[in-house]
Amino acid sequence: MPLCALLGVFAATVAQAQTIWEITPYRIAVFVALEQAPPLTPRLEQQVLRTLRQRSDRVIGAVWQLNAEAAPRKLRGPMVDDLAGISYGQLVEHWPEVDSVDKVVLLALATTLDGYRAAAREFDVRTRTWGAPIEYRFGQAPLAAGEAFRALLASFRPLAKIQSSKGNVATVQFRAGGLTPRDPNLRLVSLGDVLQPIIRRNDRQGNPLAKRGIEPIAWTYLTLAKFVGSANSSGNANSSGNEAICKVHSGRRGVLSLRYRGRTERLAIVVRPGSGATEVRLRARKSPATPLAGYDVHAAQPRSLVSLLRRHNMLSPEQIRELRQYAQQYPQRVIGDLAVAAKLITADQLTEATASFEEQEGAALADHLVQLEMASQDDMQRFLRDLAQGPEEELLRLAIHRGWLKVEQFAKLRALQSATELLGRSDDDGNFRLLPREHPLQILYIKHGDALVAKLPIVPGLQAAVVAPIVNNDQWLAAEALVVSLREALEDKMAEQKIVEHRCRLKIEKKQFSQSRDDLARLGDLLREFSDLDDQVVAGRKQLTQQGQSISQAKQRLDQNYEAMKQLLSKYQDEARIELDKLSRLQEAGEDGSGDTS
Amino acid sequence: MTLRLFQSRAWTLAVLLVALSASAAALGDEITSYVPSPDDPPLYRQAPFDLVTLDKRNSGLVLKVYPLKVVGRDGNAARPKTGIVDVHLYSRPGVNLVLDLGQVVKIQFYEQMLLEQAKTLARAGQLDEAAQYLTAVRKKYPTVKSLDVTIQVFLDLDANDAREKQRYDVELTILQELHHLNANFPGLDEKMGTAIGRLIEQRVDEENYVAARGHMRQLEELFPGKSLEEVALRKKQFSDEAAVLRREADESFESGDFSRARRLAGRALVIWPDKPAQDLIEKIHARYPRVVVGVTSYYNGRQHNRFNSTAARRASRLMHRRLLELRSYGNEGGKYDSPFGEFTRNPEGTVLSFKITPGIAWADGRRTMTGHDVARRLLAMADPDRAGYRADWARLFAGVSVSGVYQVDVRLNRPHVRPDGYLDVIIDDGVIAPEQGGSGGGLAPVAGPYQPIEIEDGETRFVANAKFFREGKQHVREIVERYYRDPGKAALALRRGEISVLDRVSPADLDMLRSAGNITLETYRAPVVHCLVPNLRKPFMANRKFRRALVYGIDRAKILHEELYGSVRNKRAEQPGRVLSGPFPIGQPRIDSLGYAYDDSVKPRKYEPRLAMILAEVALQEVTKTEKDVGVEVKGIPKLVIGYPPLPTARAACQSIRQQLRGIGIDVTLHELRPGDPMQMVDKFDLLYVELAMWEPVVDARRLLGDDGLVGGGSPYLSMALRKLDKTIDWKDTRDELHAIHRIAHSDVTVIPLWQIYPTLAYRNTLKGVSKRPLLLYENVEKWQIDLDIPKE
Repeated sequence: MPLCALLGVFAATVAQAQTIWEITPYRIAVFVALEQAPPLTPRLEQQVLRTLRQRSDRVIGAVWQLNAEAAPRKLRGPMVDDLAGISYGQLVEHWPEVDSVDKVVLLALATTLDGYRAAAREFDVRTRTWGAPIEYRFGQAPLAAGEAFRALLASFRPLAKIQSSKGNVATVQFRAGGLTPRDPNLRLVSLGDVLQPIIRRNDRQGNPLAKRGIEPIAWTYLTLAKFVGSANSSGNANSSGNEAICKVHSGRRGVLSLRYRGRTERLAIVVRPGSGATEVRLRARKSPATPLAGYDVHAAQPRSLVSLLRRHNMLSPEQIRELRQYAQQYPQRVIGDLAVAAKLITADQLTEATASFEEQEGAALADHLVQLEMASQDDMQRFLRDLAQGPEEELLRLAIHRGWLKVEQFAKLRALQSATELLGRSDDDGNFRLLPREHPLQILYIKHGDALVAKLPIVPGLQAAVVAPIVNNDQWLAAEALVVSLREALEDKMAEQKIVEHRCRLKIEKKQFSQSRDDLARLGDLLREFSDLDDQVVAGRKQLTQQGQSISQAKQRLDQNYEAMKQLLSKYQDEARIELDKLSRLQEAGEDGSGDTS
Repeated sequence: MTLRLFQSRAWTLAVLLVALSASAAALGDEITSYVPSPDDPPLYRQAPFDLVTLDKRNSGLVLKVYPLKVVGRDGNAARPKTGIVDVHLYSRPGVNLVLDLGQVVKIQFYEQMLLEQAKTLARAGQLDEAAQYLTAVRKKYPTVKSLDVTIQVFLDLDANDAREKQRYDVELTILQELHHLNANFPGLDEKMGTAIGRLIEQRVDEENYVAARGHMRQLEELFPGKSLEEVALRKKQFSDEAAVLRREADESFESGDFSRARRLAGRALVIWPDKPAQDLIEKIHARYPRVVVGVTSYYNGRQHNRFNSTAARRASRLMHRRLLELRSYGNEGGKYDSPFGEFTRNPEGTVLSFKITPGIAWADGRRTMTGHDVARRLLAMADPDRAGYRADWARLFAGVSVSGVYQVDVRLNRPHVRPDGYLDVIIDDGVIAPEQGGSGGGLAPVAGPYQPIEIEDGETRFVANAKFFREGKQHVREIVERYYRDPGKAALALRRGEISVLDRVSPADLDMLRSAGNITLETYRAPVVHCLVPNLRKPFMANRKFRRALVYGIDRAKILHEELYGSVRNKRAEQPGRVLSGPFPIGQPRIDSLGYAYDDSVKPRKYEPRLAMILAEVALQEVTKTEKDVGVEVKGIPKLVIGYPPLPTARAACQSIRQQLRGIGIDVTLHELRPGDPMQMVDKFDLLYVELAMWEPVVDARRLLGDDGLVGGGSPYLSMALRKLDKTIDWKDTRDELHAIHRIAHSDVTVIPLWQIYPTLAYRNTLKGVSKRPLLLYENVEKWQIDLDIPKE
């Protein structure tokens, strides 16, 4: 199998056959409703509609097929008063042709105390999901049309199909990705954007099944790590995006790797969260009514390595730009360079191989290197697999290869990327209020004591509240507290014992025999304390064995702790006893003799 | 080796010379002349030695020898010039030699060298160093000739130095000491007179008339029978000033402004305590008794948290009465009653009932208290959106109903061992006191016995609340709290009668006050728990090993028993306190049940500085690693900042703590809060020294250790234990959970426990009605009665 097949997530070719999906524009129906208030006149409404059409054409171009009109009469009131509360049912009721488009955007204009607001909310037909309302405020009525278009644009959520996934990486292809917006500066998707994966199961007619027809994959999000693909695509700068590689963040293993056949679609939609918070409700998995209070909530933000590079000034913007361009223009050479950096091949071998390599569609330098027997198939497969798992690390590896970045800096960036911060603790009702931060996606690590009980990717603001069923390890916490306290007491006593031994020995060497008596007494006390600790360890362990299920991971971990302490105590007590005897004999001999210099 | 070449003293010089030479030869060329080294410590710190200068025949060698046993060392007799004496060289201590005194030109004895050096230093103006030498001579060689004279000269120089620095009090003290040694020292009388004159001037500028008059008397005693113009002028000046004040006081009294009259009359008495002033005071006192309370914690209306503020705790009782008030301790925690009426509980412990007495007026006299006021308050405590919200109360509280205006029934979700502990709350008239989280001003209307009317310059004045609901008028019409930063000065003021009560007596003053005869000392009923609260947002404070290192690195027993209570003679009588192993008080076993939360089996960690250093080092490595993971570089253990209240015990303790932590390589800066500042953790503190009224642990545990408590949230183990405590319904389970919390807090070092202390208050016997072993100073203030007490000079 050509190695390039392995590069499902690390695309090597430049041009790929364009599918209908990527050249089909979005059909968007925009409904506009204005509050019935004096400055917001029918004339203004027409102006807004006109502007929406014109700007859509001028700015978006072929990517959208937009039709804007006044909202159905009975929808207007709800749109103005409670845009966030409108349901799919209401939409269908007042506009049954919903399925004839790809997107419906409800756009409301209203007055506020000190001006106006334009709010847009998008409904994606394929995934049957609503976006969060996006609202802009402005001071003067003439600005309404422009702000309405802004809101429309901001609410738009590009849709993608998940082509493949392996490990924590997935490849997606965006709808209309092969089409280019009119405005070259427009970014409909950007690196770092968050996508929510959704499974759609269809019947023979292509309609979603009544039961579990459309289902978001719980606790899973994708972040856009890298664009790949056609010559039309120029990365995140000037396109609607075509094929892209995403990092998968999930609280569950292998969710995207499940086999989905036939009429099941794996979709992903870009999320545009609101600015509000989300209440995370921690509940016991086996007893959903049981709130889990006092669980620590740590969070990591999946910042891109490149953004961290910039933030910590490890590479200049020019260097980053140069690396990006190089990777874009010469993807095969990038593989070669990285293979040299990984010491898979030598620089000379690369020179020789590139001299005889013909860049053409479907050709892979990796295959060529294997054919030239410069690297084995197995080695190359392993190398490419590693690369595939870290799509955003390509630039950094290139930078290291060029000597612009050190390996230690790379390691530091990785550590920073996965660094977590303690946000707080669930309250007595098991709830925790998660506020939005710099990155829209936050990976929550729920810990209770030392145990990590859950990993929950969440986009705050996407939903007002989420219920997270997680393992209830309350029963182990008290046991853990005891283990920790015993372990620390043991550490302290061991250290103290060494200190007192040393002190006693010194005094005996200086013939201060009477002064060493107190130390010997303390050593004797410590031996007794070790013995007491031993008893406590035995008792604690016995209590643990009687507690809960024997195969619990938490229980096993605690039991291992007890075992380690027991062995340490056993060894330590023997050594301490021997040493105490020795010192006691020396002290007695010294006192019985002469020469006490105390 | 003993080179004892001769046995008797009859050897000739030549032989001796030969012997000495022989011995010198035998010792090789190692005998060299003594030359002092610049690296030598001061002479008085060196081991004693004499210097023997030999004659020219012996090349003028100067020998450093162990002190010779000869007559005349102290200079009071001539030393022998002939004969022989045993001598040991410093350079060869094991070698016995014999010295011919005829070959000796000079012997400088150690004690005389010390004296000479003292003189030299004194003449050069290095008086502190000279004092060290003189002290050494006085202590070890008191009979040395001319020691007394040298000391006198030194004192004279020292007094001159103090005068140049305008420290006339020091100058006078030195001159008095000189007078004691030699009353006829030349010029002494004049110098003393001048010094006293300057002191009088200084004291008048400070408005310290008592001291000024004391100095005037000193002058008169120094020059008996002499007419002293300065003294006469001052007497007239004081008398005239006092007369003006008396007139103004009289006017104020006639117009009914008794408070002002009292202040003016008091001032007149201070300036010139003659009979008219005393008579005026008596007249005013008969209408307007006033008590001045000396305090070492300043209440200025900004402290609200009674849990950790001594001032707030004390003043609150003056200004407010609470729905339930802690009175004493029974077998099961505190005993409470209500000043507003009757309080009962049903047998199941799920309903608390109050019958409010009708006619309880608010201080502004507009309304009276009803059951609705009580109900409103209790509902606010259960509402997270209201000031004064308590989450633990909210979980317990099921509802409240009012019937017949004055009957209030409070229902609980489940039984609780001590629900009354939650209800020591102020019932307000809609303006929630700042103490309970409201934003009302510090002088909000109150229903308590006294109202604050003025806070100024270290004094807070409270006047009797005419609308106070309790039967009978408060005898004492005004209470003035006077702040003293120095507890010693406060004790002296009490002894002199300038104040009638001292709310907290420093251990160093206990003996002095006890011996006064007209002063009563009372130990408060409940102890105060002292501890250091760590700022867990700081990386080092968040590290368990580092916190343990701090505990091992502080010798708490030594600080408590030697440094705080070291000067107390009868320690057992004073119950100085106990080192704690956790955040709860031990109480007094067999006397009160306050220690129900304390697990005796958990012993305080011992002082182990080396273990502390090891743990600190390991903690440094751990913190360095975790901080590196988030891109922060750690260069070592940072200097810790300890914040502490401006209280004498806290001040002394923190200074000792700093010293001890420095000894284990942890540098510390102390930050004393200003008097009146609220006691709370701020970002710049690593540790906060607190004194806690942990008087009902089952309720107070959360105040300290809960997520909303002073600590700001401990480990998940502690958090779970507190939640379990919230669910207990009987004493056995409650105690078990509290003991578990104690063990966890000890293991986690959630706070660094120091000690519990039973503070002592003192009051003059002219004040009646102070409770025996009160919980709070003003516990019985409505019944206080004060006889006039004019301070004696």
